Amino acid sequence: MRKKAGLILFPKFFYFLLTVFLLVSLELPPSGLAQEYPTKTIQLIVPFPPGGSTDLTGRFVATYLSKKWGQTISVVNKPGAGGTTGVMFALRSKNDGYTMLMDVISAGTLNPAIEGKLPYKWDEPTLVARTNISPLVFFVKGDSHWRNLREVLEDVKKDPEKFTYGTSGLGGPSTFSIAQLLEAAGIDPTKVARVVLQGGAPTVTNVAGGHVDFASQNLSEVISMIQAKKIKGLAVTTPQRVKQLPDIPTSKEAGYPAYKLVGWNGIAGPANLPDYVIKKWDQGIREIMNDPAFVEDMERIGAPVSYMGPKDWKAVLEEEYKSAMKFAEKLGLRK
Amino acid sequence: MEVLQQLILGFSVALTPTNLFYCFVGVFIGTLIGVLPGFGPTAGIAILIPVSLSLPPTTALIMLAGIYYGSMYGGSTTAILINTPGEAASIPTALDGYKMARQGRAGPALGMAAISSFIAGTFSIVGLMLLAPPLASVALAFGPPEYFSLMFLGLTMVASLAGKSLIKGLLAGLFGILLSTIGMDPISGSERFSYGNPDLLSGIDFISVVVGLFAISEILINAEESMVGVYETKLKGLFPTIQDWIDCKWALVRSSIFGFLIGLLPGASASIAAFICYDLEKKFSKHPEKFGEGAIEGVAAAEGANNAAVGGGMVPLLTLGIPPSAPLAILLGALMIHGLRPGPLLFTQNPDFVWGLIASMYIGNIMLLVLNLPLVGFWASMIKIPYPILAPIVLSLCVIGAYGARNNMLDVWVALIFGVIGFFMRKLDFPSAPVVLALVLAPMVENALRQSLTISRGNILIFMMRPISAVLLILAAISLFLSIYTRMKKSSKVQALIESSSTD
Repeated sequence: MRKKAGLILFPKFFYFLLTVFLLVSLELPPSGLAQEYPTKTIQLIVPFPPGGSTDLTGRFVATYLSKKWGQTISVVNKPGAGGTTGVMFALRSKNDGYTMLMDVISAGTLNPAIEGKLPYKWDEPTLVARTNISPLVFFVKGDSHWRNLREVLEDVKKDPEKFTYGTSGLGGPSTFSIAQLLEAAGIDPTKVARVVLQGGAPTVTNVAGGHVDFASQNLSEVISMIQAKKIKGLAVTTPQRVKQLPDIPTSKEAGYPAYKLVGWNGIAGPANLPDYVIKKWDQGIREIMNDPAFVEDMERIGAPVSYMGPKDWKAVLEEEYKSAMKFAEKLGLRK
Repeated sequence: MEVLQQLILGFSVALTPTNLFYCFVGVFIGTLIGVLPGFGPTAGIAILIPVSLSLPPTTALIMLAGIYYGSMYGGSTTAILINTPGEAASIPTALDGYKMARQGRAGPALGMAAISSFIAGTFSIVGLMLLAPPLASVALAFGPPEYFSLMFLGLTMVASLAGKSLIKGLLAGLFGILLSTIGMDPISGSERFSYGNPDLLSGIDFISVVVGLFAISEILINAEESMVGVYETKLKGLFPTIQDWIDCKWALVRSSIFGFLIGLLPGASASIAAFICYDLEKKFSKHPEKFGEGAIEGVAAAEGANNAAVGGGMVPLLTLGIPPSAPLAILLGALMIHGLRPGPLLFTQNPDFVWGLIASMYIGNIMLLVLNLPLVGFWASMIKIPYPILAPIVLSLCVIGAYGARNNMLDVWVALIFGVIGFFMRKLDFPSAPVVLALVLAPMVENALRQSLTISRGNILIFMMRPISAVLLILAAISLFLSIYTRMKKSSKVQALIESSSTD
């Protein structure tokens, strides 16, 4: 008898527990979440295929923050349409802090400047914190007769239609930085032929092989080929020289301070992220910036850490967007 | 002798117990990834990068590289057994391998796939070892005009993949070209055929088209026929016979060499190597009509080529830091995460890493052979699973595979729709391979054509004025001529043969 009663009683007790558990887990009020966020796996969307510097940055941020928070942050690649697919996925997700975006300059301000019909505006994502910058390097073929930036631009100015430059995509920093430079040198950027290549690596090989005359690419993509003298770096866009390539002058030293566009990555999220999510991530990013191992890892991939909080970052991006709009119209890129 | 010394150094690194263990882990996971359709090495390596962070750099890269070449082995299994290529590089394998499986020769097909993978894979490592630095400059000599001509040569293969009717083959190729234009124009950024849909803007992914055209349509066809009888053929032997070896000997040599050379070129990748070597074998063959009907040379050529391309692809990756294909791009990322900067200096600055990795690839290839040969019997007996049980499993693998390629639901719908399209294409005798070939090549042809014309400011003679490009264009003309000539000459005889031996 007793045994039978136990058998019947157990399910009732079990269901009661199950009900309580479900109620607690599903119906937690948002204020409770704020205290404990994150309580489950966070998706960090990378709007590019794996392997690039945005992807690597995302993987480092995810690894270090997962360790710190004791919660898994999984990197999810949503490549397509120059970053738009991934950004739209993040923007359409719930703004509960469990879907975040590894943002990058092209998706952040440059694409919105080019594409009038883009399904999002530059200021639509909630900006949380900038993690790093990506200095751009101007380079020519390794055995080129050009010894410095001035010589290149003087030649191009004489007969701009004789020269070609490569860019790693439709828009992106490699296009806009060259436009900045050519304009500063008094050359009409539309006169020089722009060869749109498919990514950073082909751009570097095309310059190294002499198929196009010059290009401007992320530091991370050019370091090894410059060290091997297959290409020659003539200027970097940062105010200071970069540690990995100390011989390359800054654009200011090379005489063209207007060549100053610098790429970046940062954490963003869907519109109207709750404050506690912004705070948690902002604080987390600041903490890992103080971890020498993280700083070293980022340095190694050619993306030196450079923190910027939500407010400052937005102001910088607004200026970047306006300047990009100007060049997009000048180059006839704006649609 | 210097190479020998360095190789000994490499083996001393690769043969430590830890490195041996992770090499095995890598090739084992790689085999599994290759077997699952759609779930490619790109995703596999990306997922394991965080795990590899806790390992020393050399160990980590030995494992991650193992995943890559391991997946090339595994990709042939499903291609042969259920007409579902695990990788794009295994599509040509499916053309003959699956026919062999249906004739009861799944064992020899799987065995030959593993053996040719091993031989060509090993050959390409020797190539990598001896020729890496001088060959690095070959990759740099290829600019947009050279790529255009190479891809154009590739497109002429449509003629030999066409099957019974050249017209139907060309139409299928044109269909593939049209599909490739969906999405954002790569040069100007205009939207093409996307109708405002942001998912379509990134284009149609060829993995989902492959899954649909090959695997799902196969299930539909079989479901329509009486389900039970599909695989009733008995297994005839598990290993290749002496005759098979004789048939394949030149295929093994040619695919090793050409697969390696094509693998060197950024953008060309393993799948194009497999297609070109398959086509080459057909052109060299005394009985080209057997191709597509279960010729073991076809399997050997395709699998040899895609494995040889792995070693070829490592050359520009390690010596120039240029990844020739998507999975190698991730390997580049992994190298950088571990603080190794590929480039000409890598060989002098980190010899223990470079040679350790190369030595581990020799070991990994042997592991793969040992791992795969005993499994041949196991895989081959899989086709005895009753179809009503096998079909739903395959179908769910297809859906997972289509989704997994880009984490995008649209791709699943594309796969299902192309399953239906593939069904009707088979009913109407349209070949599927040219669709996929064109879909893979056409975007590269378009990019290279437009880039070249930007460089030459509209002068089309640029393709004939650059020597490499001119040679490739001449080869394309010869290839086209040969395909049409053999078709004309043997048309009556071949046609009769094909029609009598055709199974569907």
